[in-house]
Amino acid sequence: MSRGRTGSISGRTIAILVVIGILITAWVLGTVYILYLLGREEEPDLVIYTYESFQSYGLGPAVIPKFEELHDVKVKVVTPGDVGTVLGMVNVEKERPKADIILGVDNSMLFKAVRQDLLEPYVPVNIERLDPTMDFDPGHYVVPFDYGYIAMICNGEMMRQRGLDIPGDLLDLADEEYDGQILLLDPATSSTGCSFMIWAASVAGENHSSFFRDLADNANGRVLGSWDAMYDAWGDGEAPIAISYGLDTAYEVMSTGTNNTITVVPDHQGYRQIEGAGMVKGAPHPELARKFLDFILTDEFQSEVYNNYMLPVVLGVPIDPDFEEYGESALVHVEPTTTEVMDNYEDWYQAWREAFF
Amino acid sequence: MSAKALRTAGLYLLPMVFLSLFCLYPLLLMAGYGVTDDSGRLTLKYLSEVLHDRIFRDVITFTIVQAFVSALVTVLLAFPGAYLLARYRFPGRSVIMAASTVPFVLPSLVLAVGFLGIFGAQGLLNGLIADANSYLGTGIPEIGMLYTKRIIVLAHVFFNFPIALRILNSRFENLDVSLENAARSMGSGRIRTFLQVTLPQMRYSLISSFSLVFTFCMLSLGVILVIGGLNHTLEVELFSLFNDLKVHQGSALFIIESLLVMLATGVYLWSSSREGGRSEISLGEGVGRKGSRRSGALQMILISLYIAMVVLVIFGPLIVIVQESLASGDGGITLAWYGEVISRQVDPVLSISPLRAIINSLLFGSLTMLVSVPLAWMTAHLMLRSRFFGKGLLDLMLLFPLGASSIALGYGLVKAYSSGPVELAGNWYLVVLVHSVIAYPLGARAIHSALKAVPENLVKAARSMGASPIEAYFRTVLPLILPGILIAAVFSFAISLGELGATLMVSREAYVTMPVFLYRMIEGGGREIGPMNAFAVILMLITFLSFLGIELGKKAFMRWGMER
Repeated sequence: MSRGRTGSISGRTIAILVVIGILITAWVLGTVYILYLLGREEEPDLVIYTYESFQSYGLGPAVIPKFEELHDVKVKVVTPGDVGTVLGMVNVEKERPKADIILGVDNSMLFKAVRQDLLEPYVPVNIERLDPTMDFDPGHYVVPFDYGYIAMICNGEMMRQRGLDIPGDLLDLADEEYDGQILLLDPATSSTGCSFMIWAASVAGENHSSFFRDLADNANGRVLGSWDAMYDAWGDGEAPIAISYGLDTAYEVMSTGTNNTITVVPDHQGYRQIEGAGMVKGAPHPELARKFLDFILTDEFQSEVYNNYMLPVVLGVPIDPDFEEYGESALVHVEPTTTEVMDNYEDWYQAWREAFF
Repeated sequence: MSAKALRTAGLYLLPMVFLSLFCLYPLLLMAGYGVTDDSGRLTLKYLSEVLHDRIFRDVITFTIVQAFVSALVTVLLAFPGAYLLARYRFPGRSVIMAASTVPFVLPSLVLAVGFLGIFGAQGLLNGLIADANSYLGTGIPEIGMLYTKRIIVLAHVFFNFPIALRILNSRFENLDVSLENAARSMGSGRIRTFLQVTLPQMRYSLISSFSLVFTFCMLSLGVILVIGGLNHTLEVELFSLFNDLKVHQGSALFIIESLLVMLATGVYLWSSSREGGRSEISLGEGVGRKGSRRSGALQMILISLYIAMVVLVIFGPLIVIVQESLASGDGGITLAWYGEVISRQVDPVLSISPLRAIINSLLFGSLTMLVSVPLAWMTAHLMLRSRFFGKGLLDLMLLFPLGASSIALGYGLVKAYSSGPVELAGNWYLVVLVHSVIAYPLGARAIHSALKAVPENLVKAARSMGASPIEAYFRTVLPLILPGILIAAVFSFAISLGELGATLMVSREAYVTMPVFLYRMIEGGGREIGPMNAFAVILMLITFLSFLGIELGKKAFMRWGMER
């Protein structure tokens, strides 16, 4: 301790402090510089927020480069999670939007985006190409880009082993026969689940509450949060019946060559999940966003939607022969309009929660 | 105002400004959404709506019940261990102390991955059951632990067991043994002495460890999101409500959650101050006497059983993760998954490469350390300052982030700073800021407990020998509190590395951290077991290495101090 001089700091302490100071400064500067380098990227001309499988199934990688080439622009695709997460993110950024396009808002979820005032209406220049029966959105908040039937799928082998009848009608799922045989989806977190809930409510009508209770009894707690998780569980034999899409048999045949999936879409109870893309209110690049919405109904885009295992919304676009052969469809459709969904959703959802939780 | 009061006010300024900007304001903003409608008018509509809704009420009840049961089981399990560690000398004692730090710093999602590996439909336990059934012809049914309430309690016990063990152990070590000896010498039996003399002395430690674990269980998120199934706690419900654009209902639930957590935190602070602040969350070795009694045969058996249980419970999930990260499809061992994680290009779904997430986490962790350690340091000094009116409240506020909902904090920060002159939302500095806010209270407590042990006369003595105030501080105080500072540093790093809730809300594509990336790997479609486990192992390794580094640094410093 003898080195300390009165009222001053010893040279040694100063030296140590200076060295530490320099080290910390270098550390901060270095880290920030690396972050700056990593964060530097080409400023995109168009930003699209979408759900994950748009990219992982291959529709995104098929159509985005086409659009980039067409207009000689750079498009950035951001996939924060499922559609719900996408809407949540856009809602948070409402004051200063970063996204131009939300892609993947379907006819069951659109009302949420409209209610939160997230979308800017736009009628694409080639709107006449759209199959008129797909025009679920009179407010023109989104442009439909593909559709698929919500379906009951049955594991053929398990159904035979357990001696179960293939359900022919959606309301059959309430039968005691299917106790413990069904996998369902949470409508709050899964857009497929949300579609199914609206489908079930539309078919059951006044009796939707009791139908939901019977469904809850039969699902017996087997309610999953995402379609992916449910499809995996169904594949693992967790239960023989699940909620999925009309092209599931075609999917199995095309991807594995086996044919064990029995897909059921009742003729008189069709529910089409129609997916659309819309322009974000206050989008940073509105011009190009409109061009993208025009691009959606062109053959260049529509001929690729098979990547999503969905069907084109423009009549006359060729469809894969396997889709034709194994795909299920309906004659009569029950899906409600956006306005009807908006008016009834909270009641339906409340009845669903009461039944399931 | 006197010069001293001014200095005190000045010292408070920086931490308070930081706290207000990045914690209090965003949280008040969220609370505001709970009591105003879309046009900004005050209303109790949403609060009464969520309180009258059966399902929300069930969520509230479940949150409380699971936290209560988890805390109870944790304390009951830790109590005998704390006693054994304090009273008996036996081989493996230091191993237990070291092992028990593991869960405390383990990112919660790593444990979730481990539990998936153990309890999943294709997991270890069901594999063993299937083997037993096929070789021995037994008919044991499959275990369906995942997505149940029990597994949530199990995970919470895993995480919080070490904290309770440490708090109780340090109290046991500091007990006044003479009281016990006196009772024994007056003819009181062992059990009676324990019940009437030892246990009453432990009561505040029991309450404080219970209430601290209760608080942590109220706020936990990662494990419940992944393995809790439909069992929502308030924190998970907030996450899904905010994602579902139901901000008002979510904020109303947030208000209720905050009140409950504040109550529990209040009990913790009260009880820990009643027992003399000994239940600091510290990571140091138990300081007390290293076991005074030799153990007899019966004790040896009990101790061995206890060690076996602790080691199995703590290391079981970690071993399963490592094993799954090395397992090739055909039963062999492979490093391919690690290679894939390191070399995988930008994932079209996750927007960034796994390697980039690792780099992000390392950079954010080190920056968090640099922001939060000075704050923690200052806060520790403030907590030690002389009393003045309102000091208790200020101290409470400085520790406020400890009991804050990470989901609400993250969402509130984005809401608060997504417009205006400085745009923080979507930038990397918001990630660092939120990590720092969450980390510094723990660091402050670590430094505070080191600072309290510094004899007041020491600085005076140095000053009287002619050292300047700064010189005196650096020569006398700093060396004594350096271990505390190092602990604060490593806490900050570990918290930044493991934080999920707030980061989920504030981090954007390019600035995704390891836990967020891991969460997306788990929850996204087509879960790949190999790469997911390899990524979890890397996250785990980085955390452990940082602790090891600090431990070595501390040892080196001690040796250097001795030589001088």
